[in-house]
Amino acid sequence: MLLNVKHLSTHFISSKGVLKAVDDISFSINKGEILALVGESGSGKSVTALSLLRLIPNPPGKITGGEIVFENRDLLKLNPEDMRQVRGNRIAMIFQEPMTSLHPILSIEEQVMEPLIHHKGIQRTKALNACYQLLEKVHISDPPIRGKSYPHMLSGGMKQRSMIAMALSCNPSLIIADEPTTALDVTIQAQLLELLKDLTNEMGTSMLLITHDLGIVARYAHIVHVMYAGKIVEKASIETLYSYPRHPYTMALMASIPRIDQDCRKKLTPVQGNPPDLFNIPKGCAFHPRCPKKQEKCMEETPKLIPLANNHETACWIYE
Amino acid sequence: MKQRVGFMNNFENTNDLCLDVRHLKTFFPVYKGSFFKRKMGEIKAVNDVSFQIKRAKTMGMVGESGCGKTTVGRSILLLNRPTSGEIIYNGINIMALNYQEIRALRKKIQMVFQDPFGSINPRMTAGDVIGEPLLIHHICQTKYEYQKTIAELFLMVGLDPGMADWYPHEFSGGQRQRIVIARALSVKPDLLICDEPVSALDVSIQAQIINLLEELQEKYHLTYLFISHDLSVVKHISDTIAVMYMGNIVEIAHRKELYDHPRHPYTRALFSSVPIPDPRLEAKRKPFIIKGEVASLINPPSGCKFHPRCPYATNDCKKNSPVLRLCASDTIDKTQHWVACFLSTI
Amino acid sequence: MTRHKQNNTGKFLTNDLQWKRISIVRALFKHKLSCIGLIIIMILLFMAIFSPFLAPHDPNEQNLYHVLEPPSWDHLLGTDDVGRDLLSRIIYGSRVSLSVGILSTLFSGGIGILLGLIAGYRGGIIDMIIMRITDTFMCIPGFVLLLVMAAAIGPGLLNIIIVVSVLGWTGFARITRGQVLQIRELPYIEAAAACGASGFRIMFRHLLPNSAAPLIVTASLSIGSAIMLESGAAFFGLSIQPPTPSWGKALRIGYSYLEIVPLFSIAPGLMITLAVLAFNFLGDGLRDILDPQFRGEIQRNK
Repeated sequence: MLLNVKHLSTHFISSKGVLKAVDDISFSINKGEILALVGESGSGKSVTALSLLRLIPNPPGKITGGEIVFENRDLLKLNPEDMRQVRGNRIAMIFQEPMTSLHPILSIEEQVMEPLIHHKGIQRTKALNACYQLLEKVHISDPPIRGKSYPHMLSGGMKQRSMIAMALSCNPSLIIADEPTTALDVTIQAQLLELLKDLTNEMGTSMLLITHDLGIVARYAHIVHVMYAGKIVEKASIETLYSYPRHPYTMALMASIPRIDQDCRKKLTPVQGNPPDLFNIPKGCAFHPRCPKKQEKCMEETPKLIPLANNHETACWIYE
Repeated sequence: MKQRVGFMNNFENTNDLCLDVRHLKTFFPVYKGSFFKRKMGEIKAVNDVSFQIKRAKTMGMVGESGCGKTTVGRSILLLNRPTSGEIIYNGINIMALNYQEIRALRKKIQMVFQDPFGSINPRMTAGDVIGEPLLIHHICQTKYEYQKTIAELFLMVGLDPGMADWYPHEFSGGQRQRIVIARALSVKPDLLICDEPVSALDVSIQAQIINLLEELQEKYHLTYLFISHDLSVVKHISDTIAVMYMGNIVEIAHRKELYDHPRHPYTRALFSSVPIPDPRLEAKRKPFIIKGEVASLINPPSGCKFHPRCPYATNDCKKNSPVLRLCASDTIDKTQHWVACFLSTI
Repeated sequence: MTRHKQNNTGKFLTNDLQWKRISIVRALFKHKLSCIGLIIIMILLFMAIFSPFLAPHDPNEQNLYHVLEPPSWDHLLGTDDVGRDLLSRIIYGSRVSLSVGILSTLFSGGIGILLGLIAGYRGGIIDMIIMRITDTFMCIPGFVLLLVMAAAIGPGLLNIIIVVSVLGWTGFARITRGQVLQIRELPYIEAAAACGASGFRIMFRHLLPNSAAPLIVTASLSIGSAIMLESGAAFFGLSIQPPTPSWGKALRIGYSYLEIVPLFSIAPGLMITLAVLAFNFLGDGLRDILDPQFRGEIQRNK
């Protein structure tokens, strides 16, 4: 088991109250596995990713509890120096907006070399060669020439490829990809995800893929966890989740997305209601105001993850 | 008469045609210098686009960044002045109208914008936002009528009229998009141009808005031009789909025909790139992934603009630009299937 | 997903829709700071309008036997250097200072905002022309202009108002234009154009309210600086002529007697400070109220 997260909670404190962005979640990733964290905006998936790397800004936010055991060490107990050795080196992150995540006035080769020089201590000339090899690997043509360009000269797809090159430079055990292709065109998205899949297979890297797109999950992930209002509400392998979704939120979500393979102009069944206000999460199960199958108990007590068959867990009182 | 692309075999029945766009071109000049500007080149955002939309039907326009689909929508509304071509709405050529007539036309053609946060003035209440077109076009005579119309519009899009005093930031994204739709409907338009109306919304809310748009179309016989990059949504809501690439329509057909028999390599790549939320189907699909990226619009490739990325490109494709040719007529719903490719026998 | 079924429509149609809009004035009173500011301004305006009734003595009545006296029952603030009652002079002085402050800000703001809106919204040649005119006006030195006007039409209050207006509009124009340039590409401006809104409507209903925040701050600061400018001009005899009282003049003249009768300088100084503070508070309140988040909250908690 490469990563084992236990009872992680991250809260944000503001004048309006306490926002429980991530509320007591636990999950694990094995070596070589691709785990998809699915949810909408406000579900807490991006905050989970930032919490793993301890990048939560401290005045408003705070990791209030839990353990993040990565390669047999609890990341929450590391001192800042050791944590910095982990970031970029053992765990790498690919962000959503390549425009704002790349340094605007450093050239691409500088940025790709940076983790190599900093973490591996390689000499500059050797790092430059390694950098060109990495750029080749992510299918950027003419690395010696392209490497000298600045981010604003490149297209979205190329920028994201550079980010992938940066992430892979130190051969990390885990890559966290936070909506890596949301801002890109669909054909470029397909190219990049194929690339990521091939490279992670080749290097045996695990991936935590964060997305809201159920299609991407079906194509690329092995295991799926569905998040809602800061909690994980369903965990399953992809075959199980898509064939037998159990949590009402998962079921409603699947029924509400249009699919290109379905033709009949039948109406979509939308998820009723509005996403929850995170400052006023309803008592009991956070989904109950929108749930078509709610019972008395759902309004009183928050459900825990209940194991079903086949490594399939769901947090819903119906299955108690 | 040059080629007419679109729906029906016989064009005599023009009463059924809501919008007829012929050889639309919208170019944006690129200037250099600050004081005395020299024209350096042009961005051919829309380069000879023709299509027709039948009344009370939906035409979907799909494509990636730089294809010009948003510019087509804006050119029809004259937000970007077209460089040449004809836009015939209900038999009237929009390009030939004067300022007053165009203002009157704004009652008939409206737009639903992409960004529900940015397309509403944050300092106006929801009631004011929806009522503004009513005031601009002097639709209501009395204050009572004005307030009554606004209440009706709120109900039409599924919002509580009691929220008319709320400011936009107090609404959720989906509710804001409903306000935008209500504003567009306030002047009782015929044609609604929807420019990525659900792209900025959460997945669970997208279905609500799509259903709302479909209900409104059925109830009020609205015609839609639905522009989006999300192929699944476009395929769900449209009757006919036009696929655009770098300013041209490369293929146009009924949605089912397009999915079952895509002729243009770009269309095939587009459909193949969209993942289906079903792992077993996904495992069986053969991916058709094209290399490279969209070329620059200032210096487009010669001949067929898609040839640098096309796995089937020949020398002919590098020299000549293909035009839309009829490749199957009388398919579903009597919609024709046109494609712009020399090798469309694939 | 209609929350109200069709048969409930009647309920909304028969009653007059009670739109719970809160007017700006009421909102200003709800905002703590601006409430204080408004009250002070109302007191000052009252003082200015009803000076003849409020002042205990004639402000111009000299009494050379009672020069530079400390406060007494007869003269609550003492007397000035020629025996005039200081309290009465302060009360009458509010007329000059307030009119300079308010009128010059109104004129400069009006001209500047209008030109800035047009320049920002239209762009192109019109923008260039307006900006070059603005640059030209910014180069005019205020003091020289005052001297020239004093020589041409004689010194007086009008001079100050004209000079401050003529020089002050440039600041407003630039700020407005900057704000408009930021906002005009936003989708809702385009949406308004797509609905058929005319240029005027877009400028005054959409661009102006969304550019207002820095303009309000500038306006309230400009009132204060206009009052201070008047005091500077008064020192050189370029402002209103004696014996008409003004706070600025009293402030300047009082400097010489600071050790003997400190109140001579301090009292008008305090009044100027109070006026400037009040307008700043009012400006803060206005800016907050125009912010929809604040407005929405007070409307809900009504």
